[in-house]
Amino acid sequence: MRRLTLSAWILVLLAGCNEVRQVRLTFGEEGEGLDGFLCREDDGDYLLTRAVPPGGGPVPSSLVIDFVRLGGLPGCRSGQLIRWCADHDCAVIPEHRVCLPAPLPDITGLPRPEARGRVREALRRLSGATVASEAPEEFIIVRATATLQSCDELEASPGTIAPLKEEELVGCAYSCPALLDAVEGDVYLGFDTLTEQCAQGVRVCASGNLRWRP
Amino acid sequence: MLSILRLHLLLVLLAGTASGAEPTSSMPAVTILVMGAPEARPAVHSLMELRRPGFPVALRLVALPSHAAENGDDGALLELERRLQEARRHYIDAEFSACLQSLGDEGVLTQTLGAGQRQLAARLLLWRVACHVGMGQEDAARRVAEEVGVLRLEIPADVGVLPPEVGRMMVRGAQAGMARARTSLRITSDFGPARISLDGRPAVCIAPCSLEALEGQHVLGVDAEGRQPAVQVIAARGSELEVAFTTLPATPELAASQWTAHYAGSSAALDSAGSVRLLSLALRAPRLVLLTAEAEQEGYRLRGTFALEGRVAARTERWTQPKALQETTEGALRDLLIQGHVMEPAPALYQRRDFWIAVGVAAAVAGATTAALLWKQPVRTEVGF
Repeated sequence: MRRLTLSAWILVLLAGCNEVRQVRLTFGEEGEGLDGFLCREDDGDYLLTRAVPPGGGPVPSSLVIDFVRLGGLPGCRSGQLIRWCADHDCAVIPEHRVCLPAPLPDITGLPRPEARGRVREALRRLSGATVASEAPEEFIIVRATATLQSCDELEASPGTIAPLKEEELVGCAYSCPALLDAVEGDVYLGFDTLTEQCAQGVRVCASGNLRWRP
Repeated sequence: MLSILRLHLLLVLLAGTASGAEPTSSMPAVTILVMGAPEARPAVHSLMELRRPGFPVALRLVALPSHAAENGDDGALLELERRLQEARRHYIDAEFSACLQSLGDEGVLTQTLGAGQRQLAARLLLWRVACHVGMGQEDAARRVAEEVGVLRLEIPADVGVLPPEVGRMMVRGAQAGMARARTSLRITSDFGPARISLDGRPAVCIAPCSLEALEGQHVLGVDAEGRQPAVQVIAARGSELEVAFTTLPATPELAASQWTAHYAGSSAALDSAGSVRLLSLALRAPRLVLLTAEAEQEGYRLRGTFALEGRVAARTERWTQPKALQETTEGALRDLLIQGHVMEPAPALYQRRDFWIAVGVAAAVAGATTAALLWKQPVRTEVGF
């Protein structure tokens, strides 16, 4: 009887114990995933430049981390994702949105490699920040969107997804589709583009349902 | 060969001691009598010593009833012969009154006929006639002589040594007796089958039955297995007479002697209903198992009979090899006791508590093993920079 009770306790304890895994989000060792933060408008200015305070200094931006439900496992390239989401209900999971205040540097006039370094340095300050204590148990992409909207504004209506204003967007990066519970190693956030004129891509990246926009 | 073996075994068993009353026990007592091949008895003995669980009976192994048929009438017959010789001596000495006295009263005749000694009875009557003739009592002599005819006795050879007038009286009297009217006797008994004897002639019919008898006194006897014999003196008169016998149960000793007389000599009838009933009575065994083992085809043929209160309640038969004799004996015994409702049959597997406990434990072990194999520790993934 005593042995039975002990076994029952062990089972209960085992059932109550969770294995806690840590998954780290990264923009790459050299910041190679930060292309979405270095996009220029059609006039040639960085998106970040338009939000530089008049007196100069860091851009008061926020980094919104979203987990976008895919309902399956599409390919990783942006075209594949967009095509997938054309047929599937790709949507941000409301309860997993996290907004982190993340001032970004003024990179006006800086060459691209230097600008990348400055942005990378700024985002490094987020190191150690938790964006989810329990990742969704389904295939998602992790999206990091930089916006000039404040976290207070975005979190004003708890339980709802505040839309990200296109004119406030300053950067975006996303991961490949992944099941975070099964991921071994870091999750890389990046942005597919072959040109610096990628502001439109940032808007697509930040859209609620990843719809293609010509 | 088999009969010799049996005889030998019987002698061995007869030499053995039968224990007394059945042992006092909370379990039902069962008496076992083993006959036939000698190897069967040790097999039963081993079974008793094993005291197997699930065999909730107290076994008592006994030997055959050793009470030989008593010939208790011998003394009485010798006494009658002595009386006849004494009467003869008085007759020769012309002491006719003493002669008559020596022959005794009517009870002597009844006893003699009841014992089936018709010849002696005829001699008794002859000498009574002679005594009466000697005394000059012709009427009395004729009445006695008529009894010879009524009882359908043969005139004994002793008539040759008596005067001719005695012989004439005997013949005339017997003829007169035989000329009497007939009475139909309707005989019943409280226990059947009962053999009826009439005037010393054994087994003239099996009650209930009817007999024709000449008017006059007759001696009717009844003899049934397991009952004490009884004798009744009747006076046949008229066309019909009802005669009813009421018998008493036989004592164990009497039952033993009846069994010895009727069954001991015949192996074929050992396990017959009558034999088993007498054995139950003789061995004082309300629950009796009779096991008979016969050597057959390099093995043994086991026959078992179970009697409850003297009535056969179950029978079984099986063949076994010598090495499996004990197991087969146990099986036969168990079979008999179950058929006889002394023991409950072993419950089916699904009715056993242990079975369901084992199934439960096995299911629990299987479930736990499956759960252990399939169980995955829950994973929680923290995401951060």
